[in-house]
Amino acid sequence: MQRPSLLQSLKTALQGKEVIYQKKRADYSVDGVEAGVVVMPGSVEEAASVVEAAGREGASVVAYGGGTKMGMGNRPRGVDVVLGMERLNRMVDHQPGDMTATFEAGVPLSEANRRLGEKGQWLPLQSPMPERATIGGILATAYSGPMALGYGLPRDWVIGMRVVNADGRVTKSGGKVVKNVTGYDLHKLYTGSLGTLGIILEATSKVAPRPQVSRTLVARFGFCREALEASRGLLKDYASPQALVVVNGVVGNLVGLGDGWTAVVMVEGRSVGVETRVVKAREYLGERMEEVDEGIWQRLVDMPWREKDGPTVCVRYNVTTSKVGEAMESAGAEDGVIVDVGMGVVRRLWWMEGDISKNDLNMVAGRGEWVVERCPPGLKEGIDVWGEAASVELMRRVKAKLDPKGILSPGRFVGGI
Amino acid sequence: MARGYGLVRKPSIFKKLETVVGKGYVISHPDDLLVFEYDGSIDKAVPQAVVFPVSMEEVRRVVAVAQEFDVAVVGRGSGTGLSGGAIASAGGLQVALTRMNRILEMDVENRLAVVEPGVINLQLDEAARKHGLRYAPDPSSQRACSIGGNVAENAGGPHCLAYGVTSNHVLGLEVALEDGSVTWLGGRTRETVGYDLRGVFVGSEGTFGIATKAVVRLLAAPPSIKTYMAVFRDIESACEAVSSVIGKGMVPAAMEMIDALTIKAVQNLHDMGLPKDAGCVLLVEVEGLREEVEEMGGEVEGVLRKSGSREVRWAESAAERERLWRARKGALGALGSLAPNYYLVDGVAPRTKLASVLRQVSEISERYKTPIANVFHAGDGNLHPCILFDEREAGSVERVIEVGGEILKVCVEAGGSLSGEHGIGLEKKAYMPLVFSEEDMSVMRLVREGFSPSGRFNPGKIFPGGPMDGDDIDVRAMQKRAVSVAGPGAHV
Ligand SMILES: Cc1cc2nc3c(=O)[nH]c(=O)nc-3n(C[C@H](O)[C@H](O)[C@H](O)COP(=O)(O)OP(=O)(O)OC[C@H]3O[C@@H](n4cnc5c(N)ncnc54)[C@H](O)[C@@H]3O)c2cc1C
Ligand SMILES: Cc1cc2nc3c(=O)[nH]c(=O)nc-3n(C[C@H](O)[C@H](O)[C@H](O)COP(=O)(O)OP(=O)(O)OC[C@H]3O[C@@H](n4cnc5c(N)ncnc54)[C@H](O)[C@@H]3O)c2cc1C
Repeated sequence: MQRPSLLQSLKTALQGKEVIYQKKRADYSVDGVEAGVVVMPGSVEEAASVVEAAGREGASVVAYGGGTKMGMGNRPRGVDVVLGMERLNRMVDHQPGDMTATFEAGVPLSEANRRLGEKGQWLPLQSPMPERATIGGILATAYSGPMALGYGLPRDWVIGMRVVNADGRVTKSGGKVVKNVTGYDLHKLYTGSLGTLGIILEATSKVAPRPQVSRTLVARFGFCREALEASRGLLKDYASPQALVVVNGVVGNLVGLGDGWTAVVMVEGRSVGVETRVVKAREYLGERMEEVDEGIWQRLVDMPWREKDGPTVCVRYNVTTSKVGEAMESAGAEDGVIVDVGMGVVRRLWWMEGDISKNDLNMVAGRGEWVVERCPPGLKEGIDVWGEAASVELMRRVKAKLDPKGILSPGRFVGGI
Repeated sequence: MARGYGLVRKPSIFKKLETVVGKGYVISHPDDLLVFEYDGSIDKAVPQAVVFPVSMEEVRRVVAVAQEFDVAVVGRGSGTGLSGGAIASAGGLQVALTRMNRILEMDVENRLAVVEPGVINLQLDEAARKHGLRYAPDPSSQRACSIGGNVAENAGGPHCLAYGVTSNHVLGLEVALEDGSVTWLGGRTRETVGYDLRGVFVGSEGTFGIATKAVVRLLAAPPSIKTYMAVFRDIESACEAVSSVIGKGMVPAAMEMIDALTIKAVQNLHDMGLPKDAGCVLLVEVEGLREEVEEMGGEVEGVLRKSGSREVRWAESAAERERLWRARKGALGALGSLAPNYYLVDGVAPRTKLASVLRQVSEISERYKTPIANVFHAGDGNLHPCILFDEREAGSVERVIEVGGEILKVCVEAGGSLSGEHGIGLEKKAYMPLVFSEEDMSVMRLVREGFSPSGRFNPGKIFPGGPMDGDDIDVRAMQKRAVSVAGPGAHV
């Protein structure tokens, strides 16, 4: 939807800078909703001007990182302005001795890690398509891969942020030091808020030394139960791995692991410790354990989002380790299953011919906390892809305070926020 | 909106509170209240009443009563926060959580515990150790401080260098909000759906609501630990050693610094094995699998020697290790052997700037002719300059406050921050503008209004200005009183 007065306002706000792209509108549609106008700010000030102008017009603003994750969330109520982050792509600061780094939101994860790698450090986060997925997008979605078991979630790494708020003000929280209790940790609130509370312009995070060695082990089991038991055993040990997932044959065949239930284990660290951890892993996984190339991790992480042969529907459950079995109970032979045992994240994947119904979806969602991470846009009408979250009322209140006009990614988040 | 609360006593509230928590669990007599006007060593303010609920349900109803009578409410754990957080605005209610001290669940398989807010940090850790697990955040006050207080202050400790602060270990919080409702923020899993409300609640210094339960993560206890003591000529070379260790890609479990003045204080009291002639001592702890500890320990030792340490020793026995930690954790108390009073500053600097920040601290010390002892968490740049003084000397308190302010400015200028662990509370709120603009703070205030529209919880804290006792308080005066009562052993 195009709004002439909005366009005029934006042009005025940006003082003739050529960062407004009307031709790109179709490329930046969100869940089938075409963007009204696409703006690519190259600086904090430009980004702020855009949001400020949009706010005055009551126009909705949706941030766009690498675009790898725009299918996530409920259908937007409006996409008047897409705020593309691709020109906000600088490494602002890296202090190897302090183990901190600051990036603009549009820096892709792999680029961030290439830069940090020059000094033997990294940001141990995983994302599908790391060469496209941006720091801002990863934080906005709080996306975490299996390595979160050993390294923690995005929220555990961010120590400060600069955002543009709904009224166009640029504000910050946190700072650049690893220990800090000065003011509220608003960056925790922005992390995972899907661009509904503010648009992340810059994030400062802790970074870690790269591990000396990394080894990936797999073991196949005939039954799901055996694979889960072995995994739980291994997790109890102090020498537990940095990542551990179990996949079924449906997923296994797509990523090159083959039939049956496969446990995939990552052990990293100093070589002496890794030796011990490998020996430990064998105690639980048995003689069938073998070593494979670490490339398997990216294939696993990408799998649910693959465009070519990816699933039609992907539902994520958050449960405790002891409940992962239950969360998989109704899985059929055709369904894909990826279980992160230690994190308690279960992903179930469906490849459906034609349309799937809301009934199907309800059936798969079931009890507990779940999110439909991927599904055809048509199916989103009338359901909340976020399932049930605790304290939705409080979330609404926070949203109403920070974005009273509801212009930031309206409708996409929990409870239609 | 932040607003003022009157000093007016409202006796009818006492009856109402008694119907909630029972007779005997409401303190309202002015004499009895005096005990509760303190928080650690910081400031005084007499609450209208102190209430001791025993359950979430009672907390919820107490908060509802506060709403009905329109009075302020502040949670109180163990009262060890050093920034004035737990004292009530006069006329407010203090909700003391000491009776809510049960560990409700120790879920070994899922490595988590569900606890009431009054549980003491060390108790939780000890309970976890019985299962080969640990609760990682270990503030030096862990024998006394409560999990609720830790949550409110986002507490850290020596070992948070490797394991992170409280925020990294809280999965879920059950909280009572001002309208008397109770809600869960987060739950029992690490990933959750929706806004990370638990993340922003942690560290909110009691201004959002009262935590009535916490679900915390437990980690596996390490099979092997090695504690090193390295002796340096001066604090600068010790700081450089810290940077070199980190620069080599090693993150020890803890790196703690004790300077010459502090060593003297400690050794004055007991022989804790610290070399009296040292310029500075660095404690470094390495944890993990036995072979990892051996190897990394060896490398750490090498780096320490190369960075100019004249002697590197390690604790041969558990008892010796215990002694080194006692020297560290008891260091502040020992300062009493040097001066009648001290004032602890809690600032943070980027690790690589520690040496230069400490150089400036020592210049400040000379300029003001005031001795400053340093004992701190070097690994994460959280310094604790302790300004020694004698409150009986005219003008000493004013001087100390100025010195504290100068040090914080130096920290902030170096890219650091105002507090690493004790919070802003009342004590440091005047300094907030050094770090945050009015706009930054206004967004924080908005979030607070989202949680607590009336601002009833812990009004007058964190943000400069605002109500406390119904008037704008003079923070400077508060600090002055805080400093003057900060006698030896006030915080250890
Ligand atoms: C084809 C494909 C589909 C995927 N689908 C899903 C999925 O459904 N669920 C899932 O969990 N992961 C999904 N992923 C994973 C996704 O790659 C990662 O989560 C990644 O972090 C997204 O980053 P991005 O830069 O591509 O973000 P984008 O896709 O550009 O944006 C993701 C969300 O974050 C918001 N956002 C982006 N930048 C900012 C910013 N700077 N400030 C505030 N908000 C911002 C956007 O408005 C949007 O809502 C998918 C990946 C691929 C390749
Ligand atoms: C000797 C000593 C050493 C210390 N060392 C460290 C250290 O190494 N690391 C560190 O981080 N801190 C340290 N501290 C500071 C202090 O111990 C911590 O801030 C601690 O977390 C406070 O806990 P408490 O139970 O005493 O809280 P209190 O002082 O009672 O309260 C602190 C704040 O928390 C709020 N609060 C308490 N309970 C709740 C609840 N259930 N819900 C909501 N709000 C609540 C109060 O309103 C107040 O604002 C030290 C203090 C001392 C005295």
